[in-house]
Amino acid sequence: MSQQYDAIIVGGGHNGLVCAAYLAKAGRKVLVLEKRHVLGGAACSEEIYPGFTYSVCSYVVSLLRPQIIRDLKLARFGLHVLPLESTFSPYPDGRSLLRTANPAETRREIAAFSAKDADVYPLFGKAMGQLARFAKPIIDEKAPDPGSLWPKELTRLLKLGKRFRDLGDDLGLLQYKLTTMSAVDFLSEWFETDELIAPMACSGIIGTMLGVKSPGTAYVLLHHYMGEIDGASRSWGFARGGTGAISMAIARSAQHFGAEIRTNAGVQQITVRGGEAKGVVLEDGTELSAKIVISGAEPRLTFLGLVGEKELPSEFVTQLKRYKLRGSSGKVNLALDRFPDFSSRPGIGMHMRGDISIAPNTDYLERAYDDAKYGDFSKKPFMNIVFPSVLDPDMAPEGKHVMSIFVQYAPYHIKEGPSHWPEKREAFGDAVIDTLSDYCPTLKDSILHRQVLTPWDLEQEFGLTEGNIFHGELSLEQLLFQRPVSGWAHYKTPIHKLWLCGSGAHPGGGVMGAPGQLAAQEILKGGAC
Amino acid sequence: MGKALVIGGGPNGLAAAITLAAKGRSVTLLEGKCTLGGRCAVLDDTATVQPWAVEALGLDLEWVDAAPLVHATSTGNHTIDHDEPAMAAWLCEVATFTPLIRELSASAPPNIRLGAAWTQLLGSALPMAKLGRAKGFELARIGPLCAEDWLDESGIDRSTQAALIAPALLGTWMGPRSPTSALAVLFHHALSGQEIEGGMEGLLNALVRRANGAGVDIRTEARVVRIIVEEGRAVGVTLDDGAELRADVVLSTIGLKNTMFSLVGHRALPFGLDMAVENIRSRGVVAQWRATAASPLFGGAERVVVVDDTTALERAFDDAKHRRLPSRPAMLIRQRGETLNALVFGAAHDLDGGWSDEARISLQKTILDTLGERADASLISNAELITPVDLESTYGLEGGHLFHGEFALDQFLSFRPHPMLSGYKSGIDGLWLGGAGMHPAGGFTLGQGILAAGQV
Repeated sequence: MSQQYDAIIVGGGHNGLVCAAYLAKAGRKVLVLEKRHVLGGAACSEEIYPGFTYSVCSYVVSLLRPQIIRDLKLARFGLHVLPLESTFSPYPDGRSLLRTANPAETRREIAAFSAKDADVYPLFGKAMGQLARFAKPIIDEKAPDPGSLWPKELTRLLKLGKRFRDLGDDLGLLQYKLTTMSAVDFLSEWFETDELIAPMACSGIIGTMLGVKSPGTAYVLLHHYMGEIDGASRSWGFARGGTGAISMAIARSAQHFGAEIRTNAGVQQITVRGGEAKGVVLEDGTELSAKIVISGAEPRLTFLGLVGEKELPSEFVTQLKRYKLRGSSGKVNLALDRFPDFSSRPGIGMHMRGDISIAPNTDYLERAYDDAKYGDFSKKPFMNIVFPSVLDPDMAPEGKHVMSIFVQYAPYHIKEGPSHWPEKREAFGDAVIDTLSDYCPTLKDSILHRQVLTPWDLEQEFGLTEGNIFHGELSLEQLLFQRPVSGWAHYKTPIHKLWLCGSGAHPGGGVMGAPGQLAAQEILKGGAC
Repeated sequence: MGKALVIGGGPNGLAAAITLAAKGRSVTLLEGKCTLGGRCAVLDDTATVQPWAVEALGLDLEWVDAAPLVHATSTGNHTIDHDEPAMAAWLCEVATFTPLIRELSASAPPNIRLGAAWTQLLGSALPMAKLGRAKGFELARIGPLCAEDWLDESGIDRSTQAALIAPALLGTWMGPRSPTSALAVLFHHALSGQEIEGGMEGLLNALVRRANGAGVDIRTEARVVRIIVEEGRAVGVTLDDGAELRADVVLSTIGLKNTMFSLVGHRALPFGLDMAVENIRSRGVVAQWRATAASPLFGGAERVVVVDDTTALERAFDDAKHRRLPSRPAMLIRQRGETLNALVFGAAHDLDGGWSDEARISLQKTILDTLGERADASLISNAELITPVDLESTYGLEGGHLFHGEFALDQFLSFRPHPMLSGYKSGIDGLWLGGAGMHPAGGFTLGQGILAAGQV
């Protein structure tokens, strides 16, 4: 029987769509199957409450690769990224700290806490910028394989080694420290003010089940600076129309190149015969065949859920079962009748045009983590907030606002068991609003509608196994040549003609699009379809 | 050959002095207190002392099998069974890495500084390459894990896990759920083997005997107050009585900050070195507790680990992390005759409010209560608590940390304690470093002093 498609892509998340667009652009006949009624997976926009558009899950453009924007002509297909202009940190005692792209202003703000830190801040930024330049190719290329003896791989490794040495002793050491230290330890070598260290350290823990003092959390700090060197392409920002607008632009591009996309088409099974992927079976029983199948779904779901254990080598099954997901975060989206003033800095100024960190000190963050470690959501959580409607007034009716609140920690594995999350959902939402009321007392009275997403909801609704927003912990042993598992980091899988293209593959989660792009590259290079 | 001064009469000081004397130098060992031994009075576990070190020093001592480990929990006490299938399988896994880890611990770490030859770097990768691809990848996977996750894989129950993990955490600033704690556990168990007859006292006696035999001039109550640096070179020391001793080589085995800041002084340090030393992390999380028991506790067991499970262990670390008194400390007890010597995990050096009398009394009570759940605490008398702050003031343990510096990936191998101080060099000609803060980390190995002296 001849195949209906060159490639079927399971999951219409942003990575699946990127992969589809690249394959279609190369002339392949591609079908994307999305279970939900909207595209984008966790990168979607929905009007949950009339007139208010929520970026339901993912809320910022994090390192969307500039090359993808260019290759897929995303601007032409409606992508418009608005830069996030500031980071605002309010403290319960009424003080606050605003960091912007304006060095003089930022310096003044930090100097109110510590003159020394104000001096060090730009130096730190410079050092991190240099490291970001070193590390950037790592997210733009497939993972190096240190165990390989292939001349090509060895050459890549030597090149990487040479570039590392070219960094010089000081930066080389800094890079090593960045990969191994905790965010707080790393920042404490530079800064003395806990009020500054805490909100900076937070970027290291987003989406992980670790604390800011856990070793290995410093690395993600670099992502912020990688965004900066992408420069004018604004890879760190907010998409007009919400995060879903990114997915829609990619989808339009894919369609333009000839890809076929179906929504409400959940895949029930990936058909495997003789160790080879043949196609998929949809939830309605429809069978579709293709030369290759590519899954944008999370690896454990892909293999243990859609392929089935009996088709897989037992060693691989063991690896998958060990694969750490452990979602740790939730999301609260609010529709607001009016703008809620932060008592430390009322009004809609520059400080509302970026992200807002509720991370008053490092002990606070560790206590939030401690709650989660022992199976409960944080009574006083860390929060990262944006007001999309401030940047893009079309997100809400005139004068009204949407507020996107990323909340950590909300561990998937609560002590009652994850299926008990629905009973705790509102209590969790209340903890978030109560904590926020310490900073903006009028918030409670301005809420028109509240959407609370627990990790359980993220799993049930968006297929994020265990509610992990990155399709697997971004911990050292699950990165690079070990992502998702050792030996299978190059998008191939033990099932012949089944490939991975989601965040569970290198270089991991976030709205980067890199796994989708790199998977497409590998597939095309090998002539798999 | 010339004259050498060794600062610090602890185990590494003695080991360094013996090694230097064996190389034909005229060695003077300077100890500030009236007794030798330093940390030996705190740590009473010789299982991680490396046989190669004992051999290199030519120590006259006997090895004995480690006494059985009794695990005391609030629901009962029992002896840890190494033949239980899950445990045996896990120990087997550890054993596959043992040769590599012991090899790494028996030699100076490779120089990773700029200018190091490629051949040297590749040479240092050789032991790793010997592991082979599969085991190498496995090590890369295990290393960053938290200890609890790793041991969960083996099927060992979390109560027994805690007994295996607790000893490895003493040298870290981690709990069983901290990433990379698996590496600490792996190193600890890979380095552990037989113990020395007579324990730490037996080892110390052998070291002193050997040092005397080798002609080391041992001076106690000879506190060094300054390392004399002339034209960028260490040429001797000044003692607290004002005496100046000159030598070709000075080797310090005391704390790194003390050596570099107090004895050398900021002004004599090369550019950047002061920041490097400042940033070395040594946050103590362990207190010592000593007492006498009217009759033996725990059925007379010599080694006892007091901890319920990994959650309790993690909570003990949380207490230290948040600088509060531990409510359920984990304890490693050594019972010799009627004396009890316990290391109490979960006691922060930087306790909020400081180690006041109230805090001390409160922790003493907590310790007795915890023991009381597992043994007849009414037999205990003469209890004495030595807090991390006391450990610092008595034994010069910076931050109260038992190993002069935390076991952490960024303070490990060539990075221990910091690349600028790697290879036992201090950055000042003629001054070498050979204390516990240097490579190898992962247990009381006796390796640092020997390897440092070997580099001189």
